[in-house]
Amino acid sequence: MREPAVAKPPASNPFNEPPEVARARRSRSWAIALGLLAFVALVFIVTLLRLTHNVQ
Amino acid sequence: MTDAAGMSKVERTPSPASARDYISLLKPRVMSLVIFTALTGLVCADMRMDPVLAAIAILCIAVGAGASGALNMAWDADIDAKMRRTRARPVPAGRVSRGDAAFFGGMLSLFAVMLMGLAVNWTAAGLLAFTILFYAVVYTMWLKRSTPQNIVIGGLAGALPPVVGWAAATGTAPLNAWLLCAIIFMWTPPHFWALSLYTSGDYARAGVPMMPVVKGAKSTRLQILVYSLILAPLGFAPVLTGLGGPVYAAVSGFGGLLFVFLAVRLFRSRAGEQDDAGEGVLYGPKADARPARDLFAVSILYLFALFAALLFEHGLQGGA
Repeated sequence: MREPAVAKPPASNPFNEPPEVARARRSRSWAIALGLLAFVALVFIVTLLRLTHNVQ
Repeated sequence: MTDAAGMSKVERTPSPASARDYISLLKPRVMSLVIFTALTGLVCADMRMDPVLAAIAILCIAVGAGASGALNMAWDADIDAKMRRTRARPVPAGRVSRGDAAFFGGMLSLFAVMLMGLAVNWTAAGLLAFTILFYAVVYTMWLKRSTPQNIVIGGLAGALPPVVGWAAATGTAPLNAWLLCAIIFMWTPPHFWALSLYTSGDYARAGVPMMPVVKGAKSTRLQILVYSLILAPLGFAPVLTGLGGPVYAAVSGFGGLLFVFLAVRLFRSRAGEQDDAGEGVLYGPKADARPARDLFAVSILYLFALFAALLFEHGLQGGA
């Protein structure tokens, strides 16, 4: 027996959220991505500075 | 539970919180004052410090202050919901859950303290951790709801950033650093009580025992005067210890006199005794509220001018 066809949500909105919720989730995701990137950059810079100071 | 696609589904309402809501959990305006006073402490230490590490130290202090704000909003959501000034904040408005706000604040606290310790020094990291704990636990969870001395003792958390900044630069916290802390500590009660004299209705509704709510307006005005009389000479003390130069002497001398003058005027007024502005008005003019509003405004300018003068004098010295 064939299962009833299930309407697939559009790729741009995989969770079938209202537009304002999707927009809020996207902004949170961007903030997390930028935050992580900044953290990695910060740790890299601190490592370089500490290494340089120790060598000097 | 599974959905039509066979994926496991967690029962959770989708969060409408945007990144901006999380930023507002950090209380950016309070953060800017913390950055300013911490930077002054760091510059006044007169110790040559790598500018990038100095910037990282200030970032850690700012993030630590923001984290305290998020922890405060998580704990105080019930109070915030009852006050007109705070009811639109993300937690009482229902955009961010208390758990998410607490987790956010906790993670940022850890991040700020660990980075401060690893990148700068552990004295500054320890002081920063103490500041966050003091604000989140001692002030927010304990004092705020239990005593009218809440902002007096809790004010220590807001007064510590210059000491943290100083410790970031030198690894120590000498007398002059604690002098800056003492100035902010003594400044906090007259500043907040002047505000609460014309917003006490809001605090009473929320059950927060602010001084005008518990002891009345007259007692509050007297206490504002007493604190102001201590603050004015204390504000001048850095001149005597050599921390402040001629610019600072002029600013603290004139500012202190103006502060005391406005405190005397407030004491002689009836500010806080009448509330005929109606329900819908929070900061609107109330009968005889002017002296309280003036002192509140001048108190902000006074503290800003003192620290700006120090920053100017020591910044010039460092640049010369």
